Amino acid sequence: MRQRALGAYAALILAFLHAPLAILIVFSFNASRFTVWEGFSLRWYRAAAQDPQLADGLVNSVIVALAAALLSTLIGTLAAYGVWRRADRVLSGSLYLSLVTPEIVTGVALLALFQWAFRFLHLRLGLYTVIIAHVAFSIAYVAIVVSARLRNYDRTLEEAAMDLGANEWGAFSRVTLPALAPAIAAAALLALVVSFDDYVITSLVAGVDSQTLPMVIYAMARRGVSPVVNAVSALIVVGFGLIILVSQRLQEK
Amino acid sequence: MKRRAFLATAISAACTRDRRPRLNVFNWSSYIDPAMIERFERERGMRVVYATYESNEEMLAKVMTGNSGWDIVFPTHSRLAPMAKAGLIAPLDHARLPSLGNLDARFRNPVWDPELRLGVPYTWNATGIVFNRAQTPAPRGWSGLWNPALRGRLTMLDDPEDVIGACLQKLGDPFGSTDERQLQAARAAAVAQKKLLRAYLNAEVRDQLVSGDVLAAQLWSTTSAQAMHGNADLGFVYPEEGYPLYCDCAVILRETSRSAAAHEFLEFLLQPDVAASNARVAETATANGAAKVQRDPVLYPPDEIYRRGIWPEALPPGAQRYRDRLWTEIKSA
Repeated sequence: MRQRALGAYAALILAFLHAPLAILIVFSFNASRFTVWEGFSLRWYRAAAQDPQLADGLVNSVIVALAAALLSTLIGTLAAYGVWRRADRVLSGSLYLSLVTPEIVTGVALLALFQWAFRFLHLRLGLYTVIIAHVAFSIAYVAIVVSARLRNYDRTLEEAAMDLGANEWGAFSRVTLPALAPAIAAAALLALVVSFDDYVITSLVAGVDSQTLPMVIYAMARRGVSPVVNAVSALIVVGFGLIILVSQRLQEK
Repeated sequence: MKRRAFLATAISAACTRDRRPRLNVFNWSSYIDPAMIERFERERGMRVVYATYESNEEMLAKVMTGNSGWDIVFPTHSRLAPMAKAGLIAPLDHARLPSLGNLDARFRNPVWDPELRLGVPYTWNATGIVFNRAQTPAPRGWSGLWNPALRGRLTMLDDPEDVIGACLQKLGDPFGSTDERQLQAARAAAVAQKKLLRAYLNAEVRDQLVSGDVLAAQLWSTTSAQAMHGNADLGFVYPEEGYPLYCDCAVILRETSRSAAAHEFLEFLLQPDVAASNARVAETATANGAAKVQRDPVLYPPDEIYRRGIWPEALPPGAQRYRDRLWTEIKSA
């Protein structure tokens, strides 16, 4: 009895989490443009595939997410390591601060910074400002995931390596880094997803040539013209689902 | 080695991909036929970088700096005067726009820009009432949206200008009133109506109208026309008390260094076949009179109805703040 109640409870929670997505996916195959079922059709997927703006947005999003994940993983890992070595509360607290700052505040602050810098540099908003902004907010995610792993890492291992003749770099690269590798991979994936998803900060710091996929989708959804939005969203859900599966596979190995 | 060769070709491809002169166009979402952009690129040997925004505010936040990189934007008519005052707009060179004569007579000398110095009218729409003929008697005007029979199946736009404006017009006051007594009366009317409302919704209400779930809504003529294609029971009314009209205009920004190309693009948009294609894809009314499109009376009101419409102007900042405060009070009432 208890077992069955628990099962029902779990099913309810799962439905609560995933029913909206399931409905979205179902209606992405609807022949009608309205949320009234008329029959199965792939017309919205065809329309999505032919939309040049969605293609541009996807390319921009992938470039930004890869660049931001790479750079923020590098900087964030080193930051986590440095903070861990110093064991400084203020430093580690400052990482959390950038995590809890509301996105709109981060976005406006970055925009103000860019506008100020543009007075001296003759530049303007573009794809690179989006990448800089994404690196800025992804660093905290990476640093926190990596430092969680470092907290359980035995510092004496590094000392032992150095006793056995490794210099500091050798101890870091051949002992600490391999121990952190799973956390770093997880952090990179997290940064990738967080960057790909972001709308608020991106829309503030984007300029010409830098409309990302979430921005295209948001603008489309507001005008409410066609269920192409459903089709694209369904593809994103499936795509990210695959990434999760792959990353779980990798962790099992 | 192979990877390096690949990288080198990828980078050189990225750099040489386009040496064509470019033009940066920032427009509302789903507001152009993508095939027309391709045609312009092919015919003029140019590259159009095209991106979209979802509100005037989003676009203005970008171009306000005067260093946004955009060449052409499409503000709503009421934003033209403030943008011109802020020095953001480059005046149109009529010598380069010989097809301005293709514009519908209603848009050759519009009240907001009588000599067409600032922008080329592109598409337009109105705010009116869409309702379900099968289930509710036709409202004649805004006052019909205070009908208790609509309780729970009525929506208004999620837009302070349109909601407060409709309340003012219902009470016989001007849509753009700045008189505090009239505005307070409008606020009271809006609060009284709230008991009947399902929600304040914009384009999202369309599918609820099609399914027959919502019986009446304050909505744009364009979105209403889409809903009417999905449900033959739906009808559209231009309110008898008056109603607002909106026109989005193509504007060349002062910051542009590509004035000639920008004029070429606007001249291209004025071609009847291009305008017709764009209007079909965007499912909206074109300001181009020469375009051969079906003139659905929902999108193109006949003269006697058109005369009741008004073109809202930008409010002075003080009045705008007062209205913003009223809107907050209405929504939290």
